[in-house]
Amino acid sequence: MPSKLYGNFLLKALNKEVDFDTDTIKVALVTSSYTPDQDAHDYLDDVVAYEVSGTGYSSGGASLASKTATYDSATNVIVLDAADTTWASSTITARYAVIYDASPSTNATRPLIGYVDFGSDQSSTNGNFTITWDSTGIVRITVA
Amino acid sequence: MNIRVEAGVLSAGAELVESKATVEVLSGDISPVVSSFPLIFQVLTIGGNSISSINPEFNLIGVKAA
Repeated sequence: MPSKLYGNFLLKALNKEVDFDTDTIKVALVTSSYTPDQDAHDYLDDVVAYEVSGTGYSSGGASLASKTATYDSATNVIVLDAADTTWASSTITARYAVIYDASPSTNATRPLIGYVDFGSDQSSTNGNFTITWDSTGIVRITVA
Repeated sequence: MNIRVEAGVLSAGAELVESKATVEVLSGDISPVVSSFPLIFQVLTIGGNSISSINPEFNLIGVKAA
């Protein structure tokens, strides 16, 4: 399913607005009412109005656990990865997952990293809503 | 009911734009420049008096001086 980085993510990282290692990185679920704009959306305030609500889901989403940022010299790829994310015992309907840096104090200063389009609404009913991140990582940056 | 969604990888490429530095080598003889300005300074005088010796009260010019 389509997964894209927001266009400004690398710019924000270079401007020291995103620190994947030490900041709190979260993934929020949003509804099908949201229309991702890879170019214009840069901070969480562009997304927050479309965030889902439901049993087992807290506003702002879930923190990525067991984050790693590594460089593979064999393939020249920087990999950002984390453990799979689960909202347990939840009742949620979501179309997108949005990854962002939650450390800044306001939504207007919380940089967006990327989003995953589930392709259609996905629902849990008093069960686990789990995002399985790709086995090769969440974000891959290839250095040419 | 549980749901499990599989997320594809978010990818980006990065490359360093090739930059070029040009160094132009000057050809021909480069001669040292020697100043011809005399090292002995002339003493400027007015009416036979050095400027430094003129009384400031009489340091007038133009019509007033006449």
